[in-house]
Amino acid sequence: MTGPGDGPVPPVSPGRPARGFAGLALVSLERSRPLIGPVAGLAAAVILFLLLQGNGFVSTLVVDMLVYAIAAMALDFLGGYTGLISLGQAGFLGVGAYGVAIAEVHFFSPWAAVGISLAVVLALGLALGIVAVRVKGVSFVIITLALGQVLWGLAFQWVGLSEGDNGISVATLPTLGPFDLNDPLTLRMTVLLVFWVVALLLVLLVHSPFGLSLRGVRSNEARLAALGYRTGLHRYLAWVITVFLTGVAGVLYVFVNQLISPSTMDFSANGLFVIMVVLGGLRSIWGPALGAAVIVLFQQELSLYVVRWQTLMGLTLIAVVLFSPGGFWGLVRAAGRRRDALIARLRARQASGPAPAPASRTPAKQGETR
Amino acid sequence: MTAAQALTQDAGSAPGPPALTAEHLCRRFRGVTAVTDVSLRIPAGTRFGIIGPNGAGKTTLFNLLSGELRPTTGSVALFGRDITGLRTYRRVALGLGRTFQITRVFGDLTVLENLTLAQHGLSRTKLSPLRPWRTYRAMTAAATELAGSFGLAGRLATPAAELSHGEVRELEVLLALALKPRVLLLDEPAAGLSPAERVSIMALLRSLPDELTLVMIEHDIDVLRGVVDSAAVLHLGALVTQGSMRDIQQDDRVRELYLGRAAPGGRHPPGPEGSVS
Amino acid sequence: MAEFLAQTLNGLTLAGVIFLVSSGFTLIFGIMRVTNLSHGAVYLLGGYIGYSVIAATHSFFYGLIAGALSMALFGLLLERTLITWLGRSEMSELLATLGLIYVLDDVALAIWGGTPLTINLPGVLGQSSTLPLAGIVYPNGRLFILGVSVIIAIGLYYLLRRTRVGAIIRAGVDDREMVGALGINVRLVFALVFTLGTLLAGFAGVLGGTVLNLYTGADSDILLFALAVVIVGGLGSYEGAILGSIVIGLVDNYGTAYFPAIAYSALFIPVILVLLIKPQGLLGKPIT
Repeated sequence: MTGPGDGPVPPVSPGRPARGFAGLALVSLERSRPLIGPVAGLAAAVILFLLLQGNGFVSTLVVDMLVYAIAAMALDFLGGYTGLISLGQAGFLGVGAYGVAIAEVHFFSPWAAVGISLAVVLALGLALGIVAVRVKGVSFVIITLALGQVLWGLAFQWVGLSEGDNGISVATLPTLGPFDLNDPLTLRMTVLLVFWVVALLLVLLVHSPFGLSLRGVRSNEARLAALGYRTGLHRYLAWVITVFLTGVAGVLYVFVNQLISPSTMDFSANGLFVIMVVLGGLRSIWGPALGAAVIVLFQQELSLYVVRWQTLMGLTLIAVVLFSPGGFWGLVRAAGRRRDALIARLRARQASGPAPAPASRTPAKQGETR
Repeated sequence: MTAAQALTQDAGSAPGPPALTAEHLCRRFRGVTAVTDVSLRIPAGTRFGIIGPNGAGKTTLFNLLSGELRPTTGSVALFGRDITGLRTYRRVALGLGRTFQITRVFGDLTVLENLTLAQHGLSRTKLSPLRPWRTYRAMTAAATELAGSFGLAGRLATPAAELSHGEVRELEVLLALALKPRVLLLDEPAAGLSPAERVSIMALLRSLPDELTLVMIEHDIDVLRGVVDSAAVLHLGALVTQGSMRDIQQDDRVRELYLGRAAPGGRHPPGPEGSVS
Repeated sequence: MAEFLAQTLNGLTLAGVIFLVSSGFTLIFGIMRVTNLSHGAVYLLGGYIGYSVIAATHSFFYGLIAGALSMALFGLLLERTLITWLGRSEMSELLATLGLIYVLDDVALAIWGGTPLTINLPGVLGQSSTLPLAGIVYPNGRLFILGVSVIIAIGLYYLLRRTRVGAIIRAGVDDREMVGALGINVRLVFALVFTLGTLLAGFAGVLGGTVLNLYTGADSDILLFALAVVIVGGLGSYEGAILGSIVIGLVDNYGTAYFPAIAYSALFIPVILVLLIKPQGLLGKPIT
């Protein structure tokens, strides 16, 4: 009855039928337990697919959410699982976006631009990683904040390259055979596809021995080193992966928005990514994606009705940190734990209740129907 | 070399280089000398204790042996091979394991995850990025078996932070054992345990394979006597004496350290109170 | 040569303002392990309040006092509420103060708007004088900022190194638990240090409003400077804040003056160098 990889929740013993309303509740809770994940995932996949179909503002909103979700999930890989919270994500997203834009300005074809941009992001990640992994904890946050600000400063001041505050617009998107990303629907589907690919990649990474080692780094790095791990290397690799995936988000960003300007990389943007992850739930794959959706809603919808939406957002973050540090996904997990506890209690009551006597029932029933 | 030292060396010393040697180890911190000219020769397969009052430099000595600290002068060798310049993870790969006085387990990971991490420690698979770690059957089976043979089988799914103090200590030792060390450094494994837990951990230590060389810091002489053949006594960072447990207990200098004066024969020096060194 | 001297003085003036902000930040981290990311916003808010008070009273002096005291009060309030509620979790405090930035920025935007504001210096301070020896003409206002910063730096040094309160603070930076175990009211010390930090930042905001202007984003800019200072000088080290401020102030100023294209990133060079050579900062303690 329970699926593979589930926690230790043995099923109701088969010989004994569940009794009464409590029994019904128990059986339905147990049967539904392994199904919730896949069903929710399938529902999400279908809903997202459908939402992206129209050309209206809903699909635009959703595609923005997806792009940010990719960056947020990548940030959680480094911040939530490895314990290195980076306040410089927007910087690398910007590099990915500017890479494409600048390459196209210099007459590279769209695909070449994508290649160049990703190569630059990767190189930057590899180089900066050497410096970034020399510190941990609060110092790491500070370094990445400084990094993000410097990247923003470069975008702002190196006018010759970045055209400063005006930003660069990107007109031509890549074409792959029959798939022309210049067509809005194809572009949105591509973004959706990349989102699922990145999510799948992160799921695999998190559950792999490498992912386990990163959780070990966060939990007790010194001990991990004593177990023979080169923890610096593990942190470096997590950093590079995160930076690269954020760069990918940046490439998608500039294609979706067809414009990149320094404001995408400013301090506020960096903070937003961290807020997305914390709001959605650190150390979860899907939490940051949810957080990204919420923040995009705040930014694009709430701002129309509430002028002081930034204050609201700041207060929300403070409230989450104070009252529900696990974010939204933390609440989901807590609900799951309560459900498991309920299952255990119901089972205990089923086991200890009076033994049913099936023999004595049937004649009465037969008597009744006659 | 005293007769006691010669005795320790001959009895129980396997042919081949000693498991662990320290030559004139010295460690200074900004004017404070924590360890002064300590030389040790620990034969393979022995159970060796390191004792001394608080502040004697025992944990610093361990840190020098396991690689957390570099010596100011002196050298460390593992089975004849000089490891003075090697970082901790390299020494681990060569067979030197260690536990910590302040237990360092992975609190938010389950016991199984803790042990699995340890199992992957010596293998390239720890960098494996895509295959779920649960599918490495050999590793998880070894982890489960390790937990089972020392009484933690029922706690595999429990986060380490929820274990009892004694169980955490056991996990601590198991983590080190998972790496199949040839030499195991144990930093006060019984500290802070209730008498029942103490018995349990001593049983665990005694059941360890004979080929494994144990070096143990302990305050509690009773625990030492039950597990250890010989020991070295440290005071203020320097070696006072080393030899068999019997010789040490009858050594006047050791008596003086623990009691303040040389006591008449037949009395054992009690360990000093407190467990932080 | 005269130009170089003027730029050096500019750099030192900037260093002065940065020092006032970063010293508070580093002391707050040093003793409380709190990373107050809203420290830059405190600077800006203090500057804005000073601006308004000056506009109302036409007294620069009152403006300085208002900026400093209002932010001191804010700091005290913040420390007693949010920081206390969050307990000892470093990451939680960091994240909460990150949220606070958005709140403070938005409030400031609502009250003072998005147009940059400048505080004008009154009387003599608004003029320039000819410096002896160097023979150049230099704004008095900047000299004033430089002078005030140096005096405060010396004063703080005296406070930390020569008084009992300072000894307690330094001991707290080294070992918080011990200080508590010695029977000293640690919570009082925390409140004191935090309040002192925000007071300095608010004060710096008014000074900064004269030469650096007050604008949306000034808080991020000054925060970046302060962070660069603590990286270079060492988190928690007061002398590191002095050293780091001088380095960062000069590097940034020379960068802006002589290499405008990469000016903003110039201060990254000392940061990277320090990270490569001594990650805990030039005067910082090794990371335990």
